[in-house]
Amino acid sequence: MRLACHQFLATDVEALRSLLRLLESYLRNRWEVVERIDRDIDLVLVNLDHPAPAPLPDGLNRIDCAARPRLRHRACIHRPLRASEILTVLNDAVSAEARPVCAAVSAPTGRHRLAAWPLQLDGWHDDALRILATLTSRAATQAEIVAATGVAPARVDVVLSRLRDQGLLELATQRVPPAPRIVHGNVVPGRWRALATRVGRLLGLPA
Amino acid sequence: MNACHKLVFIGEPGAGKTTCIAALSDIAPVTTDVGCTDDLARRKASTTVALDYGEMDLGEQGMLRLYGLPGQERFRFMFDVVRDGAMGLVVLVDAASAQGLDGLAGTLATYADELRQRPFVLCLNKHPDPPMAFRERCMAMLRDQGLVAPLLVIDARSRSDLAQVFRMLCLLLDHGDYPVLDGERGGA
Ligand SMILES: Nc1nc2c(ncn2[C@@H]2O[C@H](COP(=O)(O)OP(=O)(O)O)[C@@H](O)[C@H]2O)c(=O)[nH]1
Ligand SMILES: [Mg+2]
Repeated sequence: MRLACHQFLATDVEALRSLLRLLESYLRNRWEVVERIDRDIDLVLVNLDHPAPAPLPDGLNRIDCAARPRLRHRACIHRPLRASEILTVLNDAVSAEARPVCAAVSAPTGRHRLAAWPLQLDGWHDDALRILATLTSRAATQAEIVAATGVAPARVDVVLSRLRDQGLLELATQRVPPAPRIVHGNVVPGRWRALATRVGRLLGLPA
Repeated sequence: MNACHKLVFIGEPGAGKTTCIAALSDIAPVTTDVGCTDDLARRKASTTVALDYGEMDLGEQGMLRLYGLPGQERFRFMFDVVRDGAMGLVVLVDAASAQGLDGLAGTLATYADELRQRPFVLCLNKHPDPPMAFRERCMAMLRDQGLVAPLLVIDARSRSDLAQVFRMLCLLLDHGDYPVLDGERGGA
């Protein structure tokens, strides 16, 4: 399986390579760290602490890493990377090949409409928050959610069914015309996140 | 060219608008609190009946202009000042008082149509852990107006809580479809 690091220092990447050698006998799959991030990557580690976050292609399976992960979200892991967390994350990862199959099986025809956000957000990880943010302004199909969030289809399904269980999600039954997608002509994806990072720093959140 | 972003706090008197802006602003906030003669005066000696204003210099990323607006209908005209380029809103609710729900009802009655066009975060303030029943009532009020928004519990005096609110707003903006925000780039 192929693993990539997004916006990590070269020394961090080297450390990860040695960690993989140490963990080899405990890992379910053979993992290699590659430089190029393309759609066939099985997992991407993302450095949330990078001062200028760069967008990633949609649909990637990602794990966020930060120096203070608990200030981010529950699924975020430590940076510098810790052996125990890396082991869990890699052994849980679904390969990129397996993902399109999940999508084909579960792709629903209708659009999901969010009726309300959960009353408390503890335990909803970053992927789930991105899905909720997407559904806040429009109803969307599973495929549209995948495209808008970059979250793997299988994980989108997990979040959608959790929302449905809590009575927060409705399936728009009649064929709704697609919500008009207003294109922000000169807007770079993820630009608001960069602004949030800046504001967070000014307000004393750890880098 | 430096961008100018506008962030608008709305809420009932006493909900924490001035507190939020004071916590964020680099400049001494311009606050137009005046004494009230009506029933509000009994709730709060000095209360916002007009506009609060503050600024946060974001360096290369421009300027964040902060506005506080009362939720009552009679001050609605003031939204015209902030509408262009408002990146989003923070709706504040005093969760320490049952009147907070009335305040939210008033704010939603005044601003529901504006809230439909922009991302906003509903912030329950002045209570460390508002009861689920209170949260449910707030969410039900949003639903009744056809509004969907995240609910965060904050302390308006806490800069890190406000940073989380800002993060949430940016998440909504990055992943949502909202009308192009005129004036967003203008350095007015
Ligand atoms: N304990 C506590 N008090 C708060 C909080 N937010 C605001 N206050 C207090 O509540 C009062 C009203 O807040 P203010 O910002 O003036 O409300 P405004 O009328 O919306 O501008 C002030 O005395 C604040 O100090 C909070 O999160 N916790
Ligand atoms: Mg005030």
